[in-house]
Amino acid sequence: MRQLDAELRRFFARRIVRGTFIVAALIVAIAVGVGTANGHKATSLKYDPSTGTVIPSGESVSDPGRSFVESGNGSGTFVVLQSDTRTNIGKDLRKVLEGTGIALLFAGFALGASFVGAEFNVGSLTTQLLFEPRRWRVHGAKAAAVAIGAAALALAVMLLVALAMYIGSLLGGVVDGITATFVVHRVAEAFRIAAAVGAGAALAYAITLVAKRSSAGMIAMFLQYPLLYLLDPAKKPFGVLSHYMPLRGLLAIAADPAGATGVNERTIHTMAGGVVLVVVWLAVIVSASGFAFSRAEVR
Amino acid sequence: MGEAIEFEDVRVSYRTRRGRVDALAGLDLSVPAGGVFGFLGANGAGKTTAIRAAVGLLRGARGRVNVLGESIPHGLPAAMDRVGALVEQPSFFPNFTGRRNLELLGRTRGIGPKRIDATLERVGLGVRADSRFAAYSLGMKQRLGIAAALMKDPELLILDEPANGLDPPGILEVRTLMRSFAAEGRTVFVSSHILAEVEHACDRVAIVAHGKCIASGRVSDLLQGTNAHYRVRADDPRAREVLTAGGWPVEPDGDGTIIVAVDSSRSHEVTETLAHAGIYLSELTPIARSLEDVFLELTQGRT
Repeated sequence: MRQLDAELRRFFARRIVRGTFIVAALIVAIAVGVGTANGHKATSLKYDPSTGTVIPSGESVSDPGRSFVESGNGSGTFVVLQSDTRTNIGKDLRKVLEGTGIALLFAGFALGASFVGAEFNVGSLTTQLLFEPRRWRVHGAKAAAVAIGAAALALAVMLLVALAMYIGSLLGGVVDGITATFVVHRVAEAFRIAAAVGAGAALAYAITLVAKRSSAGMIAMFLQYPLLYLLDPAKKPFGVLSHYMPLRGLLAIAADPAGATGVNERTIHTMAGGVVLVVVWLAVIVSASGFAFSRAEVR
Repeated sequence: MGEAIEFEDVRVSYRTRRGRVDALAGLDLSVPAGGVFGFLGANGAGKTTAIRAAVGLLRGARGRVNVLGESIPHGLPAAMDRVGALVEQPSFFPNFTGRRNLELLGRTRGIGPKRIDATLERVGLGVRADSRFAAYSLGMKQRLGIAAALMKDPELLILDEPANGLDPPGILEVRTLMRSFAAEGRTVFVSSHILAEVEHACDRVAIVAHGKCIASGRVSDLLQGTNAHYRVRADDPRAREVLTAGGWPVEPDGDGTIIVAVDSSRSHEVTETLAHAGIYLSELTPIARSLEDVFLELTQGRT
């Protein structure tokens, strides 16, 4: 536990971690601030084809083209000019969290890879091993610290997103549908995304531990994203790679595949599938990297 | 007292583009517990490789390495609990302060802030403890590395080139530190290529060349050697001829004296031979050799 405690402190004391949080907070503040400032109610017109006239409807319309009949004045269709763009936490938080989660997933890869990559770069791992020579213990503590640290950072950013959206909704938007069930679901969603971010960071860390370069861990994880689209899971021989890539599992956890379309639709049909895939990859890569680390010369 | 470190037929080789290179080619060395032991060798002789094998940074060395009675690497955790080491350059996080770096290391072993402060004071970094490591001079970085090694309050202190980057007062401080450490009954194993420094600070030394130990023993024994040189002063000009005829290598040494190479156990024979020829000495002085002389003599042609 002391080793994990030290590794967590080392993780959070790094500039890149604090910088990532500050940048994320700025992006959230600017995005929600601008969105709230520019938000407006839906505006619509009533178009009467018999007379060719349009009149302001004053109604909130979600389905343009719907017919209307007014007593004595004939019929026509609603024409939506602009949809409702006001900040609406109840309606939008879920999608915003999913989108943020995917961005955080990639930030997690960078944080995980750079954590041990920086140690190889400055040689501080040598100093640490002179203090604690049990390499499996050091490796386990570092992997756990990276996973916990990245997940905690992701949770903090998502909390910030929710807070910013709530304030935006209060100040210039719509506060609607905030029920206990809504809160429970969003909290569960945030933890699910944080778990994916933590797992992704641990994978990037483990790859870097073997390659001894941050770039190796980052490239190995980032490169999977274009490959998801370039390699058709249904086609041999590379389809199997695409099908079982760690990133596919991570995305399935971060963005609920129940409503997924596109590449995830055909492969990971359940979140359980994504969890199994990620757990297997974590077990294989973290064990293999620990085995290699325990036998490697450290400089 | 037992042995603090033992190397027995230790071999380490690396694969390079030009084939295999032996970093250690059957190193045999015993470092007795207590005192300051100097480990000398030219660049690439295998000093750092041997130290890395002893502290477990290097895996896959063949042969036997024992540290404080523990076999390495199996007994590494038990041994390293009692060992403080500085290997090559001190490596810490550049953006953390000196104190923060030590705190993070100390935390893994439950070392508290009081011990950290005391250690920083001991190496003369108390005032600059809260500066970033990146802003430290080479000497200050070296001091922080020594502080990290001392923080565990070890029985055995292993220092690889500790005087690197230190100014003369800093070198003197490190020497004093090593001597005070040894005076407490602990062992210091120090590798260095500053021979004068080793001569002053160490009780025993070993010289390594091409991955093998070529000499080991007390500093005084090595300096005396078996092939000592004596300065002979005699008023009679026949002295040189008589000694040459006796089979001793003789060289003139300026102001009327001559230098005779003679086994120190047979130096009395010089007096005897000259006396038999009716020549009486006014001076017979052993010429003190420096460790540098011994080192160069032993390693000449090997490096």
